[in-house]
Amino acid sequence: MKGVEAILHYDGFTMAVLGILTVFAALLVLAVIISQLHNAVTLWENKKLYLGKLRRLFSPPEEPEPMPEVQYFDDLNESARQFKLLINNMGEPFSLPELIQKAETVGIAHAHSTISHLIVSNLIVPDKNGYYRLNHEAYKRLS
Amino acid sequence: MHHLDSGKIKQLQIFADLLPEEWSQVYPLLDHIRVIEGEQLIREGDRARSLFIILRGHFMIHYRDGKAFTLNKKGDIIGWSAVISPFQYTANVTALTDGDVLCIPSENFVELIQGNTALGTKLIRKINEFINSRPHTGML
Amino acid sequence: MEKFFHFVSQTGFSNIEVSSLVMLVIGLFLLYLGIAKKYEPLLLVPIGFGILLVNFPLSPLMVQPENGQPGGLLYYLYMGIELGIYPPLIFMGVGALTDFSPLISNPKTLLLGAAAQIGIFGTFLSMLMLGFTDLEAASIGIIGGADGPTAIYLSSQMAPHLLGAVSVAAYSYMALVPIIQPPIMRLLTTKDERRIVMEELRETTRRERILFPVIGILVTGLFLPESLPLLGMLMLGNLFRECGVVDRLSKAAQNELNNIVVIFLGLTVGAKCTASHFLTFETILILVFGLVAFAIGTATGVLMGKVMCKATGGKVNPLIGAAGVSAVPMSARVCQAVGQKENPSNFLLMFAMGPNVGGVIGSAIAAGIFLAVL
Repeated sequence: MKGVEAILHYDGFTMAVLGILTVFAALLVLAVIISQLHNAVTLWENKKLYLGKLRRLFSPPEEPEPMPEVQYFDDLNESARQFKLLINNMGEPFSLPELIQKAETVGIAHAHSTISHLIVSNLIVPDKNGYYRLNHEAYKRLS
Repeated sequence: MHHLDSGKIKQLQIFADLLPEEWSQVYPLLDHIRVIEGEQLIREGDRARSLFIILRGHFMIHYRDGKAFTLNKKGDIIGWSAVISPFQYTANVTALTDGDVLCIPSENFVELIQGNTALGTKLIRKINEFINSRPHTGML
Repeated sequence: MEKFFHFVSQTGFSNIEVSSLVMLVIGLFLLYLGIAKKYEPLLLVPIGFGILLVNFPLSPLMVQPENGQPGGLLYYLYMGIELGIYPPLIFMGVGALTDFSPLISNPKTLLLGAAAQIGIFGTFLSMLMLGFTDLEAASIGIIGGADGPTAIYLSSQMAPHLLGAVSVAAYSYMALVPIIQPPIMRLLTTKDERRIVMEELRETTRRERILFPVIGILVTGLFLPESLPLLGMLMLGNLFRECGVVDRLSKAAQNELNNIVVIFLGLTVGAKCTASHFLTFETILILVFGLVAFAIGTATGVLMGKVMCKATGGKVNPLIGAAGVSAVPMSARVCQAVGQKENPSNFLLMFAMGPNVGGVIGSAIAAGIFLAVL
């Protein structure tokens, strides 16, 4: 048997169409899935982030806990007076870590935060060489 | 990170230029640490395992020779040796006040910037800008 | 004296026939192609030598066991083909050797691989018209997939008597890809199209490269379980490569196992090329229409490439469609060479690897369809 008769006998056209369609369909499905693989992997790797977003979407918005400001509990005048004595003892310019160490040794409470207070209040200033000085003018204005 | 807003952290200078997809890679690496006054965050000579970003608080960076400087601005970076070879801290860092910092593990950070050139360039550039703006009292 | 004459009558000289001589010459010719011309030497050398071994008069190598006497060496080694063992093992080696990143980062190139398989079905119809049975027509049509292991696998299951001719045709045309494809590629594309520079492929993550073989086998296995022996081994080999925790197995699949199977496969394919099976009019038809199938596959791949080029606004170079015939990596290299002739700074190789791998998967699926339906 030859010719078109042979093709019809073996259902050749059906086979060819089925074959081409199946190859295309399978590879199309695979292509679509693989094209989204990158996004799925990113989603999985950042699931914390996306779950958080999803949670926020479905639950009432939480007020984020406000970050408390840095609070100073010391009396600036008194702190300045105490540290001036120490600085006079050490001489200027002085090493900031050494000042803190001395302050702790003599029993000044919260030495670290007190020094922070003095720095932000401009009473202790850096000298651009890694050491610090007392700002005498600011100190005078304070007293 | 449960009480810190992703949006607010994204506004920090180091992250400000990141695209959303870049930020989504960085954000999961961030951790939040509360520190108390007097706490030593970094010890000189230790292996640099983390990079820190100040959210709140006043921090003193000090060296064995007694030199020091302080950082208290939100977004200031501490411990950038964590992303630069030989990954060893070259200063001590002590909290002068109670505070909050973001912490990024060095290993994850380096892997991230090596795997994504564009993102890595942006972050390293920001870190460099910060380093250049600080007093030249040595590496941290 | 009697014994002497008996001995003489048992020599090859006394029993030589013209057909055997012709086959010996063919075997020597394939050796020449493989060694001197370096056309697919890994297959043509063992195939050529296998042809020599079985076409000596009174050769015992393919003798079946009889009267308590064991069969010949190649008879037993041939079991690997008859039982469908060697081609899937070769596919495992292919999977372990191949980087699927270009495909993962540009999955639409799978469709170029699909289009290039149209030649298989066109040839199938032509072979039916010429009087071959459906099983024979499928075995010949699969040559158009330009995939040696797939062609061997299918014809060993469907038409073992054509195995020798089909294999020789498939591997010869795979070796002749640099000669067959370029004229077709140039005929179907314009100069401007050939000059197109494609956008750089994104980098794939390790996770993606591990997930691809798993997802690949889930999709194709569900579509067509008959394709599992080939595609399953392909994906397993690739998983060995990408998972990073079975380095020894990956190396074994790429090297020792692959090399051993290639030797056995080549020898036993050659062993099927006896004069009675090979020196027939059908063989000539197989060689001619195998070439036609190959050419049609190249053409349909390139045409699909042109469609994609238009659909993407000129982002796809149609030349890479020719790589949809799964002669890995030969046809990808041909795309690179043809593209560089028009634009020396154009590097199409990695882009062409996507449809190349897609073609491997496509031809295995086509084989699976024939196995499932016929």
